[in-house]
Amino acid sequence: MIRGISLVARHEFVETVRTKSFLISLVLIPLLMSAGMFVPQWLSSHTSVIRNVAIVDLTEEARYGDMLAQEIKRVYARNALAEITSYVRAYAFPEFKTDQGLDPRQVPPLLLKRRSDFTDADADAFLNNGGLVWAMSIAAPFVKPGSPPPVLEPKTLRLVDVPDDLAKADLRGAPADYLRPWLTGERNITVPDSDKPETLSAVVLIQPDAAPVQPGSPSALGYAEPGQSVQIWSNGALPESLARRLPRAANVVFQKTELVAYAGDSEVLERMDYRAPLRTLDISAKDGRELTTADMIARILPRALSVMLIYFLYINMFMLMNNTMEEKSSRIIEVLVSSVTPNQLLIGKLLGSSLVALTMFAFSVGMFLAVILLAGGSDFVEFAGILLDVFSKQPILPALFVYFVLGYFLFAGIFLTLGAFCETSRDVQNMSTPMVLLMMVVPFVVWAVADDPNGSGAQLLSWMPFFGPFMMMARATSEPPMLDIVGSVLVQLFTIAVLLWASGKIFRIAVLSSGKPKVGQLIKLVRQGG
Amino acid sequence: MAPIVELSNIHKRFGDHIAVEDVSMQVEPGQVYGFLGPNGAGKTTSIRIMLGIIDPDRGTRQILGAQSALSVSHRVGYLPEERGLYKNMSAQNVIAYLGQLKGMDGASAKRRAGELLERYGLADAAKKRVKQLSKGMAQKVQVLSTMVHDPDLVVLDEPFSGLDPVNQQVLEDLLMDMKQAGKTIIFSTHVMQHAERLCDRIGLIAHGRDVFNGTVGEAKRLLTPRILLRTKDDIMALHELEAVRDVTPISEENGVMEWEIVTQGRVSTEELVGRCMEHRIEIAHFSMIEPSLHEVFVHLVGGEKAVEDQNVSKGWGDAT
Repeated sequence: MIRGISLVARHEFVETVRTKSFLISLVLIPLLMSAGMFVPQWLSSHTSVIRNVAIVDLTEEARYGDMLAQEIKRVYARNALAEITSYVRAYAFPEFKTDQGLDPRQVPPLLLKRRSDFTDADADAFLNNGGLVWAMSIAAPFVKPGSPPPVLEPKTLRLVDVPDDLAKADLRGAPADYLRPWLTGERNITVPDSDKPETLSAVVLIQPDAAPVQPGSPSALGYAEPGQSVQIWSNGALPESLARRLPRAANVVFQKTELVAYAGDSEVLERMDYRAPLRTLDISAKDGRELTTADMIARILPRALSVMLIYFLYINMFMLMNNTMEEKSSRIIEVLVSSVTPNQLLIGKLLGSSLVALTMFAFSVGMFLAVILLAGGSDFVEFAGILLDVFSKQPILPALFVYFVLGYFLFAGIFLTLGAFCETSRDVQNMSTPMVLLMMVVPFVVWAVADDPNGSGAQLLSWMPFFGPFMMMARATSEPPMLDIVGSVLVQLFTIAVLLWASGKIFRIAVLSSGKPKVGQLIKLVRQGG
Repeated sequence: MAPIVELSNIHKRFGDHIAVEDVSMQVEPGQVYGFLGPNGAGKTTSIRIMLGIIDPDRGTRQILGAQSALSVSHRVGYLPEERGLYKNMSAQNVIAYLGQLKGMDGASAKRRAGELLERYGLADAAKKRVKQLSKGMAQKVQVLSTMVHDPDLVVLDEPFSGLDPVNQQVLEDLLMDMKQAGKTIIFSTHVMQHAERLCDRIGLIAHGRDVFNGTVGEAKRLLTPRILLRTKDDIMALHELEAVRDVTPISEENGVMEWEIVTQGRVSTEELVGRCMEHRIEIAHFSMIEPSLHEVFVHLVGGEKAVEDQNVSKGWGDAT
């Protein structure tokens, strides 16, 4: 009996992993997963269009224009500084690192900061002292020699001088006729770092009586009088790269102006950057433990892997169904069931195909991590390092293995039996639809409940057939009670046993039948023992 | 000697459809047994029951001395109807895999597969994938896969269907090789010529029921032979013979008429010739032609065939 099962399993495994479609999937899945992460970054860095923006300040003494330009430049400076510090975290000598990141006793505070920590003073220092060269001169002593250069986010916004004709025009009241030729490309501008004529993407027009307005007032909600407004003009909808940055920068400028006016001292702005001396701590350790990015990832990662798990199962279920359908349509299945029992065939196919699925899953996860490590920019190297750290300290990989196998056998018996009724690809599509719908619902439900991984919803789903493996995977790093772990596994094992028992009874008839079964007939078959 | 296969009063029903009813057969060692019948007659169901692929609702089955066909599956080779192979496997590997399923170890199965392919002129195809082979070559590979484990009994379901005349001859030769090697062969067909040439015994099944079981000769004796007589004289006087049912002119050439004499039961040549001489009928030619198996088949099942063809594939679970 064992020999028959192992022969079928080995055949299923060897013949599947040798197919082109499997080899293509093996390469394609991690590539697509990695591409999902890198391509948007690559596209944004290689295809980003630089938008030219002019600021016209019609207020007395042009109070806001320069401040707005500086605020916009600071956004770029903060992003660049964040890239540099991420780069240092990824490539620093080990002696400058601790468990929580860089060592604050050895590394300057500027390099300890993350994106939200950079102040106006940091951004201005970057802008006034030479930008990247200055930042790298601070970072270089802590970075291992031979490290790849940092990858900076490309500039997508260029502040340009107001064209002379526009500067001379009366832009108060109804400026559209003056702005239209510049914003529609009828007239172009010249910029110092480009030898081609350029189009103006937007004009920020600060009207003479523009001033900070109280929150909640109609003026603050987009109903300001024309002469009192800050107008952002563009041809059609504002490009996405400007739509968030320009209003935000304008708001910051007006808030700061009001604050300084209220305090009567511009030093108040520096006070705005003061921070709470925050520490986030985990109570589970004896004296508390500093929470890190790794902890956050450890919380989210199992959820992501749970969703990934079900999509992998989805792919493999179709492979399984197709293989069985081909064996049936070619009638070779009759030769098989004249040599081994239908149950041996069923179990052998399940074991072989589960090994196929496990191989694909393990390879994809490994390749994904390798791609992140090898091909990523500094952000990704740091991320990959944290991921590896999480994998080594949390029971994610064993959980992944156990719940993958449970999930696989929960669905595989059903799909295999359905495949035994199919003779064409259309049959496969039709027969699999209800199960596919169930598989599509599972990740949504699990994701929604997993935010409270030890809550009653998560506990309930952990004990439910079909949901259990995925819910428990999503809870893998949340230290679920042992009762939930053991109970869930037992429920799933029991469900698998029942399903395989029923599948075995139906499978032996299905492989020799023609046409589609009715639910009533299936139930009758199971009751009659096939 | 105990029969190799013995089915006794087998019944099988799929839903409302009775696939086989009270079918019995017995095949002795070394025989070539033809299992004949129109489409949907129940041949495939009977074969599947014989091989333990499905169980009968009633009746008993014994194959190679065992009641469980699976327990002797290593001594049985099986070629199903509408057969196929794993398209992406090499010819040698697919034969070897099926050999392994029949109990061979991996190395022996592969070696034997290579030997068979070489013996039957497919050495060059051994490493080719099945999908790269011509239809005829693939069909040969399928038959070889039933022989790889040197079985005592080979069961082939409609082995000649879909084969061109050349490959039909190749398969006939292959079956004759097996017969000479002492194998017992059972094959189903609805093409009578193959059965006539190859079979020691035949079983005829129609509408799920046994119609005939015996040798080809016994089957032919179910019909009276046709008598052809050529003469210039009038032979109507032969009507006087009680056994003569009809006398029909067929053709005429240079004043010589050819007649077909239809009799009831067998009539001796001597009696017919004696009566001709009595009536001064000058015989230019006299011959007695045995009926073909095809004629026997049509005679036995012809009337029911149309009805039975409609019973094929009555939906899921119908595995006739």
